[in-house]
Amino acid sequence: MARHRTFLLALLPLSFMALLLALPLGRTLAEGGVNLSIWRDPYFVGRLGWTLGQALGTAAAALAVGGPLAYLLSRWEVPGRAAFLRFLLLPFVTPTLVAVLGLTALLGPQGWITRLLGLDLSDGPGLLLLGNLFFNLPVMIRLAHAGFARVPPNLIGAARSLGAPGWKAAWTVALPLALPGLTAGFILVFLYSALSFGLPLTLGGERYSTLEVEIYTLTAYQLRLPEASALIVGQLLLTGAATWAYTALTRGGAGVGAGRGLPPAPRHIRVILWALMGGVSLICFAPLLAVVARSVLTSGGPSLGAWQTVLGSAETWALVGNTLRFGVLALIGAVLLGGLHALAAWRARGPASRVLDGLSLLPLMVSPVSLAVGYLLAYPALSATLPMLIGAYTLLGMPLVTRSLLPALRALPPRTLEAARTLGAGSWTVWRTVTLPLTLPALRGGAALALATVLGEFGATLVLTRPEWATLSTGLYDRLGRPGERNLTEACALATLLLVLAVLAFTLLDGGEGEVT
Amino acid sequence: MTIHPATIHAALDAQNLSKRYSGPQGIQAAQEVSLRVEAGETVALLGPSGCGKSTVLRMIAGLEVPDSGTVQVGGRDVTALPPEARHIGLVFQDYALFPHLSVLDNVAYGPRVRGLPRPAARSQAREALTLVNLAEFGSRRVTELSGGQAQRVALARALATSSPLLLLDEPLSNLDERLRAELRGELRALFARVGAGVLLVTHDQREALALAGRVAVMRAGRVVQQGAAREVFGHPATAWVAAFLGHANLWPQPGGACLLVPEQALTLGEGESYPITARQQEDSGETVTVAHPRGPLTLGLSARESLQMVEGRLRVRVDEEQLQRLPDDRESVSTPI
Repeated sequence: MARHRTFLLALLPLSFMALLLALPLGRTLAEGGVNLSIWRDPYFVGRLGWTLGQALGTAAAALAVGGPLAYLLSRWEVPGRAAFLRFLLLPFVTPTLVAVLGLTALLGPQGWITRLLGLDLSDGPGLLLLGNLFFNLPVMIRLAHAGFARVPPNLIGAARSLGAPGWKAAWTVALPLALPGLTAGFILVFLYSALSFGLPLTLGGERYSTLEVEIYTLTAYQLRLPEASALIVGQLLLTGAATWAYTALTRGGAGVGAGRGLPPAPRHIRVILWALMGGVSLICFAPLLAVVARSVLTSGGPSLGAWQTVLGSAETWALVGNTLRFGVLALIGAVLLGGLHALAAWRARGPASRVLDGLSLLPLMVSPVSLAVGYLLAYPALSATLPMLIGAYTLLGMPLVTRSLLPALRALPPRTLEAARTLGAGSWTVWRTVTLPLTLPALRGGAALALATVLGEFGATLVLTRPEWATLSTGLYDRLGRPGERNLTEACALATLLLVLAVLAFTLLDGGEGEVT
Repeated sequence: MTIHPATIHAALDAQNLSKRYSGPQGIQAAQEVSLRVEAGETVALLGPSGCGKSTVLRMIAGLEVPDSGTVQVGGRDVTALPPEARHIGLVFQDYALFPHLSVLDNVAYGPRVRGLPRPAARSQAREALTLVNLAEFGSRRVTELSGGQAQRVALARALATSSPLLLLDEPLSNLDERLRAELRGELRALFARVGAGVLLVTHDQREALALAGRVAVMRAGRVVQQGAAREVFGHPATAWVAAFLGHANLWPQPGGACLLVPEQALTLGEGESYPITARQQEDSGETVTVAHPRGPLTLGLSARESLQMVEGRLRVRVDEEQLQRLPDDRESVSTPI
């Protein structure tokens, strides 16, 4: 009976994934066959090498900066610590193009820093790597912080009293114990960087484009499906392995420790902490500030002209309306399906639970671009219809809800639920009075993240959209392609609008609980 | 392994340690606490939970920075030194064993980080494990240990550094009653063998009496009485100390004083017969309360002594000579939790 109901719970999300994930992907691969000879082409081997190289480089840099910073943050209190950790959520909800614009405003050919120093990074891979770090340093820091926060402070105290200096206690005790968290962070950063689309498309140029961009070019512009399929297969193998390793490492569940009652940092620690926090802030917050500043500062001095144009045009409000409409529709789908999936994985026992857990990650492993292409092939009748677009958004939001809710469900102490039963609550009442209130923060966090992601979604939109469904993201992409300062300023105003929308949606949904990893 | 005591200096000389936790309540965890532990001596810091005794221990170990006061270990002033430079063996209440290391590597950790090569560190660790009768357990994982074994590994880890001062935070509180009694005996023998000064923090007066030559009783951040264990137990300074140490019979007197009726002042089967007002079965006999005209008397009776109760009455004589008049301070200070 119980098994029966669990299966019913899983039925809806699983059939949704079959229809919107497995089928389209299979269709793409079946379309022209998989032309594996493409992997003998030195150009694509070079693309693969660069894709892996930039992802590894980003992960290594994030670990080198984020690891020590996360450790110190898990051990000491410094003024600004709580705000810093809270602000680190910003890049999580920043739409890709907003970050691109911020980096361009600072370091692009017309960028402030470029003009100030006469140093142009826009030709090399520097901007792309900085963009990767913008999104991934927070991922690394939060995961590593969760790992370090779980190391009991007494163990460090024991190591110290046995004669180990602070750094040695960190190296010999905290590091080995937090290794799963650190490795999970490394893998996730690697995965995100290897799969990212918007950053290499806009910042990489032709020389530094990644597999994801190649897939997009091959399918959308050149219609070379067999070759694209071979790239997709290669990419799937790669991300599949990384995802598998990631789930194995995070089985214990991750969460950011509250960090209550930390001792104040001694002076030398405080200096190191502030230096690291400052560096991270520069990478993660400066581009956002630059976007906002650039929208009101022109070479002719401060001006609200761009804002007047943007806010005064009916087109902008159409963009905002579309973005919100699609976002809310997708959010409802993602919470419903992702929530059901989490419940099923929680209630299932043994291997079934493991399998459901793994399946929930599938949408994260597949590139939105190849998925969108699959939709066009699998459902030609539905192409350029709204359900298709919302379906794609829902699929992207689902795993974020599941990944957030499932650990919270698993962390529910079984005794509390049993206690409620012995006190006379029926199973529905237990759900309403105990389970839901205890897991609501996680559900809200997941939903907030899903909404923010959908608001900034870009890859699938680019393939599936129709002109009249343009969202803020695609509208931005449009403007980014046009030259001239006026366009840049207007794009920055539009980007600020999108950023505010994303942050607002996130904050409203999440309610300041901040239970997001 | 014998630790050579520093012949002239005390193992520990802590003077006027004070610590106030910042925060909305601003709890005064320790106030002018002074403690001295001679080499080879065992001192118990005894107090109810929340009285600040663990804070004192952590300040001595260097894990907490005192607001004022000094700490000397073996004659060295270590007040400004970090924990690793103090050369103190510390046994945590929850043992704090490293879950990623084997038992042997846990114990060898101290010698290793102090620069000993691995083989030498391990042989030192094996010696320490032998001391606590766990020589065979070196290759075990710490998660495979029972509570008593984990306790002894933690002890061995502290001993392996050959520190002249050992600090133990509630060493037996996580163990069951039977194991506790067994380990108490083992610890006493061990302390005598290693020759280090030992400071033991506990809330259990039986543990303090069984292990320590001297005790310091703490209440709400202050040491309220200090001395030889027998002396402190036999002659508590105040009614609060007497009650905390387990004295059951304290008769309130006018003028804020109190009469302590020590066990040895009571003789069963002699004197007048008084009515019994309450009886409570215990594992080792019975606790009864009799209505003495000067106040209720609570007595623990063995099964044999219980036979002296006749028709709900018990004959007991109180030796007036041995009554102690103490100031009654039981209400005066609220203990911070």
